[in-house]
Amino acid sequence: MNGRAQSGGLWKEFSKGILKSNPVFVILLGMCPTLASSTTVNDAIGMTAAVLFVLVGSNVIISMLRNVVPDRVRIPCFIVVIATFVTIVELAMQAYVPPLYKSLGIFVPLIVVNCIILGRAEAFASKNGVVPSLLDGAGMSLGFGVAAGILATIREVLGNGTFFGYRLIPGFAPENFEGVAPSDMPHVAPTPALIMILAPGAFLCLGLILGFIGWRRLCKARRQSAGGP
Amino acid sequence: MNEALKEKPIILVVVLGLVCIVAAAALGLVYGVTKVRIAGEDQKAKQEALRDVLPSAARFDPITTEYQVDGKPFVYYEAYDASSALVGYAFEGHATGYSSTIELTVGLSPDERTITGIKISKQQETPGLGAVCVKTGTTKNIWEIFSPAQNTESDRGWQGQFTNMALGQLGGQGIPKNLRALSGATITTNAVLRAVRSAIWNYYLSRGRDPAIAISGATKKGNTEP
Repeated sequence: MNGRAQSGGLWKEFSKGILKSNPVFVILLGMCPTLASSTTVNDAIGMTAAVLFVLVGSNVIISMLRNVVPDRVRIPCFIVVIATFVTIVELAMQAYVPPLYKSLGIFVPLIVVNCIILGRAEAFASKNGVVPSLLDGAGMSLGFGVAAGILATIREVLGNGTFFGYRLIPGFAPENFEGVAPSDMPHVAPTPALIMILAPGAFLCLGLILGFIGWRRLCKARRQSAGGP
Repeated sequence: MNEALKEKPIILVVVLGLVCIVAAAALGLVYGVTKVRIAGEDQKAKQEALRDVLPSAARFDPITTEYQVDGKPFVYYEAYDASSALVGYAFEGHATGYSSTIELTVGLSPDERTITGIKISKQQETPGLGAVCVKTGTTKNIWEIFSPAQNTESDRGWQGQFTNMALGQLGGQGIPKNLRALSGATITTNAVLRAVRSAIWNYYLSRGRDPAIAISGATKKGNTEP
């Protein structure tokens, strides 16, 4: 019986990051990498893989060190551990998946200052055991992935007319630069909403999603208070 | 560990020091493993860029000149085809764009008067605007996943416009007349042009010749800036 409660607890540590306390949509951490790497679905998946490795690795190491590291130097220690994992990811990406490294560019080293990672180290891994920390890290990274994936899908489809780099509707893409002479170009070429790929589109999209989540929560609270005693 | 003991300054130093040493050792190990691979990937990318700008070449011989660019000797490549005939020259250039340094490779015909092609190898410009400079026309239609084997045209995209451009046409400044600039990304367009021009400029100077004669636009305007 005790064992069942335990495993239920572990499952909760994993699943809470995906929906209930999604790091991006609910805790509102790590906005910068989410907005920056969600221009295409490919980038979002690559970024999620990098975050998954760093977050799981640093959570495990930090939870192992939690009883050894004195309180006053814990933050520097966490940063060293996180920076080490980020550098490992950067080197590995450069060596084995250079196209992804090229397209993510500066955002890979910037994972060091991703608040999700330091936040989980401080709020969870430094207070919990190795296994829960590992699951927490995995869940939170997947939550980040879900958020970045949703944003990237909306932005890539609307802003670039493609999904996973594949064109969705023939002719509906910024083809102005692709071997079409200016004289052949129709006056009103159907182009996607470029703004969605740019920074304002990212904020717009994120804001609408956050608004929707807030509205849902409000509705739920209202229903509960109306139906309650 | 005793809590009072844990807060002693010497313990703080030792713990932090140990964490750093272990981290450094781990990084050293990873660096050692990936170093060769990264160098190989860089080399591969460089060779690909050279082949892109001079598709007819079979072999590239690097030539290090005495001319210094950014404190380093300028290197150009002599390209030969399978029958050892000279098919052109290639060299690298760079310029600062809107949000990154744009690095590219330029190919020149054997008579050194025509660009055989350029290949932007590194850029971090705005996605959707400046980054369109490396976009190729081979974006696949999503329905082709289900019916492949069609539309394999190798469009070189925006940078393909530089293929077969005469140096006189490129000119010394401004945007050449029949080059379509990237809409919404004038700074990127100008940076690419600057990188191409300075690369050609450096190449000519490294061979001890006056680039202004080749770039006729520059002599006409009396502008000797690259």
